[in-house]
Amino acid sequence: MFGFMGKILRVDLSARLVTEEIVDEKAARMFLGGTGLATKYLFDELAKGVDPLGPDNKLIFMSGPLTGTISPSSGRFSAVTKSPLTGLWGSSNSGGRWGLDLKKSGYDGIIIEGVSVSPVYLIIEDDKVEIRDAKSVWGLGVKETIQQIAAETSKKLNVACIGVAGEKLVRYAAIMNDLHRTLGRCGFGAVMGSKNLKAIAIGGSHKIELAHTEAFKKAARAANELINESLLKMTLEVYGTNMVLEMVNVKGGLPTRNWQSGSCDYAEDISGPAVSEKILVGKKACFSCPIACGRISEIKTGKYASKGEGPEYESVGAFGPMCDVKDLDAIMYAHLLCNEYGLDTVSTGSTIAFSMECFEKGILTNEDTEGLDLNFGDADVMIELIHKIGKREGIGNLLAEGTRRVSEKLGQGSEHFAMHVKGLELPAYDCRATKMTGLAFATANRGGDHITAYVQGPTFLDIPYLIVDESTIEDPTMENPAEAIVVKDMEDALTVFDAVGCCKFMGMALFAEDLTPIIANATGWDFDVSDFRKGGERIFNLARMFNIREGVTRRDDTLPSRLLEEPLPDGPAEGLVVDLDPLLDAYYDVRGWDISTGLPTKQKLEDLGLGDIMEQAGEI
Amino acid sequence: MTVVYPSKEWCDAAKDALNSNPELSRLGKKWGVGFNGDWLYELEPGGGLVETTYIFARYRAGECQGMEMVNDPSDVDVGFHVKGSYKDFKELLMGKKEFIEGLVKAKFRRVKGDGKQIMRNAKFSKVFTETLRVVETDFLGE
Repeated sequence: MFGFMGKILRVDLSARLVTEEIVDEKAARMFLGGTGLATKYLFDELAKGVDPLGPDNKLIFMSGPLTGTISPSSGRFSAVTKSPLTGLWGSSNSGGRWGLDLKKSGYDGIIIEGVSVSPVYLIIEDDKVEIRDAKSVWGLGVKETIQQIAAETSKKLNVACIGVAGEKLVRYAAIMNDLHRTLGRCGFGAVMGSKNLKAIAIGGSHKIELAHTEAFKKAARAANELINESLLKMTLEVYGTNMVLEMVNVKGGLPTRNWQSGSCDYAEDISGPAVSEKILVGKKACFSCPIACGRISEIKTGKYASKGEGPEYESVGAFGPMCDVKDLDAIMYAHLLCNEYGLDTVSTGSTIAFSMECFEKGILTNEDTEGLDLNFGDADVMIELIHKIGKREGIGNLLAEGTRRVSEKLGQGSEHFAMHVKGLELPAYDCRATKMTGLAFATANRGGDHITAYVQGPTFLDIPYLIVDESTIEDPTMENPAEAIVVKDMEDALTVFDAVGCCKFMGMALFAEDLTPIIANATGWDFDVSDFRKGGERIFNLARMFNIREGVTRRDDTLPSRLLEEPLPDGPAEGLVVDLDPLLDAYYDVRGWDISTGLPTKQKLEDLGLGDIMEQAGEI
Repeated sequence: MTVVYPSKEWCDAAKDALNSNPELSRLGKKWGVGFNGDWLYELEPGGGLVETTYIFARYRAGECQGMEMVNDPSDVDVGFHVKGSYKDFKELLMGKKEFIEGLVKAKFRRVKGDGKQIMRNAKFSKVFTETLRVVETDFLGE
């Protein structure tokens, strides 16, 4: 196989058994690699109703055929599992170099099964696997874990690990790699912790073989040149992902005080330019990325003194306006604290903001919070809550369950402002200001997610995605069912990026015609734009069928009632809510799904080569 | 010779400046080829400007073919229309604000135009702006 290493590693932690298997070439061709191939394994091997934190769940890491090559920004890898936060298909994707090092170790992917009787970590190097006792690192934060494993192995291995949050099974715990990169969303850290697996240290000397090296290099270099000339490079390199903050605020879509408002008056104090002026000390690029959107920031003095990678827009959104904290130093510190605990910054910030509104409304009181006043705007309290969540202490033990479970437990109307979809907390884009964003949130397979279809590009940022034929949204403040096709097309296209191992940002500046020769020449596949589009649609539908099997219906493709019923009170999007049903009808129609149930039709599945899925899915 | 921005004289000087930059010519050789690459700049009042003012620029295949003030925007057929305050355009031309900073701070709004062309030709847009800075200019309100 070209582009692939051709092997999957299977580690059964219960039996302490390590096996290898050959990658099924037909499956690789159909599902492309990465998220796609991993989802195929998960769908085939997981029965309905598995406990996400039990021994029968599987944690699957998978690289793509472009991972580790000179294709622009192609160092990424994916992970797939059943999420302990949503109970549904969980998927996450990370940058850095760990994906490259996975392939250098000799494997395309790793399937973790079972539960170890005691904490362990894995060493995987040049096809050799060791399961090691993790007594020395269990209980350590991410940085110390990496340092300790380096000391014990005396080798330069790349470590993916959980922090204390994952050990404590915080439902939105993350897996960290390359110290500051993360498989952030969906609770992967908790799944890894439930298996008593602390870390995977990986490395090796394998090389990736390509089908047509010279043609691949030519296509990759051409794509790199296009990226270097693009607006994407100019903006992201200069300001990082936080460049979007003022653009979102000016449209009235920056969630503030737990989505009670859509704008704040301090956006320019915490924006991308503000980070550049106040705390930026360097930039960082993922493997083979010509952009370097990564930030390195430092707070030199004071109680928030710290240094590390970030902050990203979502972290600023979650720990800034969402909690109404205006202090950029505190926001950066909160972001780094999450990295150290191994926590998803989006879910953490959102759950804290939710708790602040509960406190504001008297649903939570000092009796519940060990005397802490959970006031919006209190940065110190926000930081204290991150510690409590990470360690599951006090009120943190409740908040560690995630917004949905907390609201179900508290009741008293808190469900109205529990800002999640399918259990996954929403990111920092208020879709009352741009309605198609709401459709994207409602239909993303992993839950309330902004990067399944980054329709914020054309809606909030007025930046198109070249990877789809058409991404124009005429008036973002209007529900236009005819534009549901944009959401569908972007979902399908961006799914391919997660499958092949390339960063989705490239989809802003590359046409499908720029990327398909790279994929074709890497793999040797006969692969054109039509294959690109169909491959993405196939993977998206497979993930949908996983969720259908777990009980998802149209009822679940929805938004929090705050977004459906409570108009924004102020700002540029004042008075707006989302009228989702007409958009959902149109979306199901363009998807070829049953409009009343949201179930892919048999015809659609057969068209995608998934005809056997209905039977495999069992009783639906 | 110093000219006032905006004015007919500034437009003439700007056109000359744009056509004197070989790098811009190179970057812009495909601009406006196969699509309408003409621009309308809408300067909103403030910062010394009393009323809304429009500047029309015709750029095609590496050459500025004309730049002029227009009274009525419906008199011209453009591919791109961008709007911002005079204060922000002034800061851009003075070099106090970069084109990208103006974009991320949402100071300049794209009223019309194919975002794909802007995405792919950002370097051309950047050098276009930088080239205009060579024009010796007096700004209103300064």
